[in-house]
Amino acid sequence: MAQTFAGTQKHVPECEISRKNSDETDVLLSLVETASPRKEERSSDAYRRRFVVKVETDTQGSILDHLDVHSNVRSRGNRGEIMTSKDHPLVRPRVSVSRIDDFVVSSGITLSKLGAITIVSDGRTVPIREIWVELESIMTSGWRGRTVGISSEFSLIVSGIMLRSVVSSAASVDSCSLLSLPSIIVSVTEVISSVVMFSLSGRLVDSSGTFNVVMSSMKVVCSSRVAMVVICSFVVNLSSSSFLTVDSHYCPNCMENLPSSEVRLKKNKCSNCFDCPCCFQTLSTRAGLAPVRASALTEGEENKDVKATPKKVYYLFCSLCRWSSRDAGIPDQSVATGGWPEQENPHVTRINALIDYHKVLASIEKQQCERKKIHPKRSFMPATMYSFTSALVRKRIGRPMKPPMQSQSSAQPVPSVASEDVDELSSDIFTETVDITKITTLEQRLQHPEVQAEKINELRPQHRQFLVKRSQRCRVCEHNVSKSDLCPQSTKFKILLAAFYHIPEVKIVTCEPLRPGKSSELLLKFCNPTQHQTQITILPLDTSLSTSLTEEKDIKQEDTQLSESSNLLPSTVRQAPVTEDPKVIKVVSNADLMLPHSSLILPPRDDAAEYDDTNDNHNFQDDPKLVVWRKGNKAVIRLHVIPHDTNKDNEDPVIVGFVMQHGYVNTIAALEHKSPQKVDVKVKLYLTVGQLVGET
Amino acid sequence: MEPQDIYYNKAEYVETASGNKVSRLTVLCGSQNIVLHGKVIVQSDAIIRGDLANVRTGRYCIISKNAVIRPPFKKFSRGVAFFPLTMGNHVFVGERAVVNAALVGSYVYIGKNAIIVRITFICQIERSVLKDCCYIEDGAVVPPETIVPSFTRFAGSPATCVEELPECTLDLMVDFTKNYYEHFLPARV
Repeated sequence: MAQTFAGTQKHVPECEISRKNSDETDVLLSLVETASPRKEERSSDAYRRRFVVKVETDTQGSILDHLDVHSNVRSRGNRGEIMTSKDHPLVRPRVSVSRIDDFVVSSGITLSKLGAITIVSDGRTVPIREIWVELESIMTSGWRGRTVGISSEFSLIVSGIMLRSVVSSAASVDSCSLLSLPSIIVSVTEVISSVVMFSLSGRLVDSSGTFNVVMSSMKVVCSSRVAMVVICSFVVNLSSSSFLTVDSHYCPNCMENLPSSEVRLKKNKCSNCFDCPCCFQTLSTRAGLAPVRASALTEGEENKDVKATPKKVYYLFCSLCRWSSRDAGIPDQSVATGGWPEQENPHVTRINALIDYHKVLASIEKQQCERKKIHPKRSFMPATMYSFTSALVRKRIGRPMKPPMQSQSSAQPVPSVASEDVDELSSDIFTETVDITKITTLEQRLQHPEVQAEKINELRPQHRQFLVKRSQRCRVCEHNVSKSDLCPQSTKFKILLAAFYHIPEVKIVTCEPLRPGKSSELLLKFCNPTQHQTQITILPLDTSLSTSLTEEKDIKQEDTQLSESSNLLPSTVRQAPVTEDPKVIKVVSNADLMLPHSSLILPPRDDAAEYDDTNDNHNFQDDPKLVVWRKGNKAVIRLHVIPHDTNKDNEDPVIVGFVMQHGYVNTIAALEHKSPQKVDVKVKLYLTVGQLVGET
Repeated sequence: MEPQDIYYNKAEYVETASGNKVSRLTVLCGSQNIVLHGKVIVQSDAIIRGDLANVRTGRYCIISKNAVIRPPFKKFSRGVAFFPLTMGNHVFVGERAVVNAALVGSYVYIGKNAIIVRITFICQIERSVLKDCCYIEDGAVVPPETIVPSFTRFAGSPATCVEELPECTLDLMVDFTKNYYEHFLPARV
């Protein structure tokens, strides 16, 4: 159903509002055509053109009372604007726009470099001025090709459009002329007053602009037992700081994968799988035959048929501790899955009342926060061009700054009152012997904190808790560093930028017995995991690391344990919302390392080399004093360690430190810089090479 | 830490064309039912019960000394049935570990003295061979009918999930088993 609005103001053209009936709430704004400018407008200095804007929605009420569209395409700037005029009471606060490329149907959106979506019509570039919407999330699933990140967290304001959380940010630019965001959920918190969309074309990267679209990538470094280290190759930076976001929930038992909205309803627990209340292992469903009741025997002949075909019943059984639902007195079920009685929380009404109250408080706080936030974030916009903030509009139309809040006093739950009346203990509490085997343990009680049964037979099977799949983002540029496949069984990753695949691996091969003041031979194995040849140079520990780079590794001889710390890059790339001070490196080296004079060249990783028996050593002119062994992308070098005399008496292990400088070809940042960047990365390494043996 | 070379007595081990290295001192029951897919090491005194049901391993599996690989059984109302045991690629089974799992995925580490009881599924339920990464610590006892999801580390008795594994577990396990195979060398006479 399409409904066309006739403009009420003098320069308002036709507006079309069509409502479609579907489950989703869609607002489809589409620029249908441009009408020829009126004569009197053409004569004015602002060359005005008219547009027909179609607004499609399925909300029950009207979203906009009327839409006031006027475009002023000036001769120089080709600027236009679509604004809605005053007083548009939104019936629903949340409206979702699906497919931003539907916004323009006939004319198309091109994305230009400055970070504005411009709407081209009739060969002219007309940026829509301001749309006062807040994008809550952007799903960009199904984008192909190279990855492009759109930074998230509350801060991405595309001049008035706030991208609150970008659900997925893998995208390709080269394939689409449009920034085809397949669906954008727009929650309109304020009056739709005006529209601004910046064009983000060609490349989504604009490092100079304020547009927080960062195309880069990072890696997660993991070593066998180590904390994650993230490298952001945008600035070839190592940092241990990444933040985790939950991708999907799945049940570890039945591998069912659920969206987070459903998970919340189910309280993060699987509806089909149960844990044993005694030993917390998974319960399995057993089939049994219905026990024949004694009463049935005494009854008439009809029951004989029933006896002849006994009904199959199902019960839950723990194969570890042999607990069964029959022990707990739960009646057997006639179907194999589901149907098990849910245990009611005795305090459910009170809890719900409190939750509702806190939801109200949270929403009030959120509103206040956003109101504070919005001004400084918008300060980058030229005031002349984009001076319409929603607050200004509110002021202009004479509305109070804050929308009237509902009186929440009635929602406040009755406060709990301390009571002095406590039930008397029964008299046999002191005389009756305690059967410890019938009383639940603390773990068993805490497994179900709502009920906390005291006796074993009061225990009920508990729903299995979901596990989550997580993705990690860089704290600096907020690009994904790891993103797993949605399928819970799969161990593949959509994005996995672990440093394991980028930083040369260092392993201790052997170390001669260490004596204070005496030189011992230390063999280190280096492995180049990248697709590019790299040169490794060992530098003294006090070498200053390049601008933004610190990493510390503490490799223990026993278990290759690395403890990484790092600092972050300078904030020139973008205003990082989360910054972190560099962690202090507490490791102190207590041995000297005789540094080699030559450096080591490692060829790229070649997976096919494994099947190749020819011993190709690439004919590297190695220093025989340094390189002991070489095969493929691996090489063993010889170093000499001299432990300090001072630590004769203490038991501390000998730690030797050096700086490893390796060449790194940044292919991901190449999207921006055209050609792959070659960077020398310096990493501080501390090796725990062992204990001192004996006296000299 | 680079693994140290392990030297074995050349007379003791049989090396097949596909690179399997099997000790002569193992107990391989029903060897016609045992399939080792190449580059598999079976060390001395290991027991593989191929007589109960088929046992298949992938490539680069390491079965350490005194380990027992035994197909799982299930009791039915009319007797007992054994199920074939399948192991993926790059699986390490530690010394004296007992594996009764129905399915061991790929890239799995099973520590020393670990016991995996009857019909335990490691990593996956489906029969399809998928890449799965999990880690059973030394001495863990995985109870029956447990499913060990990917990227988890199980420990204790009964074994429970203690922590998660890093994302590059897959490559770390490949590295580990390949390195082990490369360092498993015949002793020089």
